[in-house]
Amino acid sequence: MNNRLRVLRAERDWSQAHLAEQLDVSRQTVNAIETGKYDPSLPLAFKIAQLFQAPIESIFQPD
Amino acid sequence: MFEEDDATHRRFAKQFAPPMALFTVSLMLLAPRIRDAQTLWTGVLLALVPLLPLGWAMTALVRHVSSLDEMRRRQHFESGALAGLLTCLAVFCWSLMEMAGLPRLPAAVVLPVFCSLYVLRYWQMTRRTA
Repeated sequence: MNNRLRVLRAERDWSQAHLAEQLDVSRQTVNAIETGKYDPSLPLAFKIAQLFQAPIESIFQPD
Repeated sequence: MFEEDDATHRRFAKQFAPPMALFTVSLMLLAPRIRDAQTLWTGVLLALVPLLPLGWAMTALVRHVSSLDEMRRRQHFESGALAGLLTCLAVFCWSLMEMAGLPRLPAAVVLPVFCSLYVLRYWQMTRRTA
């Protein structure tokens, strides 16, 4: 799955660690999501969408 | 907030290492005495003593996995599932080969085989997402 997490994070000038703290996950998880090595669970995807105040489908797209 | 991996691993090591050390020591001390036990039930009781620290270590592992975030928890579960599958396959294959004449292995090898495969697979998965 493709995602715009890195772009959205960069727009706010947040580090991976800061984003991880906001989402209550580890920095490794944020990095894995950004690099496409891990697809987040639905609750986490909703959390991300809520944090960035954007619809889920604008953040995550199928391959 | 999920702590960085190093701190989490150090805490886990502090909780896991003592019972595992106790398990190893008790196994080494009691294993020779199990066979020489005077009664069957004495032997059974001696054989079960190492399970107490092992249960303590497993509790520490479960607590550790529960404290991890979703990605690491999933990696643990997938590692355990694959290790279980491969261990079952290996044990089944070996038992068939024992009929052909290969040396008979005690059932106690199952746990170290499973643990080795688990650790190897988990390490492999975490390397990808370090």
